[in-house]
Amino acid sequence: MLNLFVQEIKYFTNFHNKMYQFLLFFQPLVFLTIVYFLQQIRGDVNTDRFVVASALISMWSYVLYSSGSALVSLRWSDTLKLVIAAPTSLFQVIISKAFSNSMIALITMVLSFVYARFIFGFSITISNYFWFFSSVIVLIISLCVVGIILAIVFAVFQNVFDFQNLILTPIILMCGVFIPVEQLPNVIQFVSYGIPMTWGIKAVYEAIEVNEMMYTTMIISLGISFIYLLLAAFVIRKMEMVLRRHGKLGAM
Amino acid sequence: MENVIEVKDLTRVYKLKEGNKLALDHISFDVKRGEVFGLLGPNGAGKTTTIKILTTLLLPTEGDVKVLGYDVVSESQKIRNQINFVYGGERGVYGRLTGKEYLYYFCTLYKVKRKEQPALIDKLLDLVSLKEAENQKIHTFSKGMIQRLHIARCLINEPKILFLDEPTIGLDPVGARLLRDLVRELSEQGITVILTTHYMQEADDLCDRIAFIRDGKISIIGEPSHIKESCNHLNLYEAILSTEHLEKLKADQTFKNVEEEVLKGSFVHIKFEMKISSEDEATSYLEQFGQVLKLSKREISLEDAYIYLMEDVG
Repeated sequence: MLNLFVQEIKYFTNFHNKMYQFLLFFQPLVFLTIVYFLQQIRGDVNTDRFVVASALISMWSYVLYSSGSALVSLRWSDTLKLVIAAPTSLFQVIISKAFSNSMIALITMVLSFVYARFIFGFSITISNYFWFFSSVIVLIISLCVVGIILAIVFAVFQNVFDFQNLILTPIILMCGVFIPVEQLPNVIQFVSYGIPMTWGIKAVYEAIEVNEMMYTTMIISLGISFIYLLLAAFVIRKMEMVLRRHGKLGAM
Repeated sequence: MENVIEVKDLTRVYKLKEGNKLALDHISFDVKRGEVFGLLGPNGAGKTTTIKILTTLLLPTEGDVKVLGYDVVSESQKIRNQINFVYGGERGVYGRLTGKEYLYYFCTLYKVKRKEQPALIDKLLDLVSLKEAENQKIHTFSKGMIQRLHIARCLINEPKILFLDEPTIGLDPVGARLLRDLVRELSEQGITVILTTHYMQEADDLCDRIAFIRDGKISIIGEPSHIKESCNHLNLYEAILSTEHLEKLKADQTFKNVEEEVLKGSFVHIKFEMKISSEDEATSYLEQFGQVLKLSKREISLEDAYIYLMEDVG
């Protein structure tokens, strides 16, 4: 599994893709520029939160586009049947793709902090690095799980790419990247708390402040991620059966 | 010899929007260890469906299918470790990877021990003559190179059975010959090969036994020589004649499957089938269209047998 993950990063991370280059390296710069001017105009902007927010947006964008196309790209290159016929399960292949994409998304978080500190001169206060890194790991796991779900949804529904951009911003809003979920309408809160990323993002914000709720939030995030992982394993197994029964994924 | 594939009453129905399509209709056959077994038939006959079922990628609708003694429905995982497949065309590769990287990735998918991977990949690249191109990106490969890379990939798990679905499609003659030599070599090593192809000469050269499939049914199965013998009643001729009435000859219902090659001026080399079995009578009949310089019966090729057996298939 580790070998597969390493090969995913080594062979399949496409740094030549212009969109990925933008998402990973330039988008944080754009958002931080907005934060910088906001601070210049208003002066009372919580820069810690906005630096993390700009990192989170880019991380989510990268995961949406990269993990989202993980399975569908196997269909396009006609390698899906080769992968399915191999003794390694399709679930392991997808999880390694989604995990490697989430790890690559981490680049944008590091870069956001570097840009914020050295280009824009923001001071970021992280009170406890251990808990902050722990929360980032929790976030990575939640992004990985969401990536797996996206990979499945994009592969099964033919026209979902048309809606890719429509998913991008609502998820940012619903998962509490800018506005805490508690301030959202009750109905939306209900949906938000069902998304693993909401808890991962909450954990990161709480860990920056060393909020005492962070332990609970991290445990909930890991718990929800685990449930989604089980669900994904079930759906992928079902997907393989549908492929074998009907000869195509469209039957799902 | 032991059977490695046992197919009994295999039926496969595809559910389509416009209704059900019967792709395989109660077909039965066995394949023995070390055999090169050909599945031949027109497009849509059911060859690829059969291969997909045997490689556990598709479930049968009815029937019993055993590969290496395991059931394709309930024991697919046990089969997958011991088989591999190649299908024709340039797809099924990751263009951004090099040939070597592609093989490393599949070594991991096939759970080959890390220590063993470099030696295995070197050996396979050597076998398919891609050693010099090992660090070249796959998107720069020719069709022949991609097919050879697929052959290397399919040998990663030292399979007991190889499924080759139209492996020489679109290859130049040199590439096709290289691939045929490889198949022979693999067969000599005791690997069972299931081959589908549209090239009759290729099937005749490589296959120990052949099954012709049409409309989802096996119309004949046996050694190529037996299949040809089964068509011995056909009167196939070739002749050289000088004629100005070639079109009239072709329109004559006595002649079937006429193939002509204009040699020079009015001289034509023709191959045809007719009901008349005597060479003298055939010559007399042909003389009404021109001067017959030479006429002889010719040996039945696998292609002749195929054309005869598939005659009314669209």
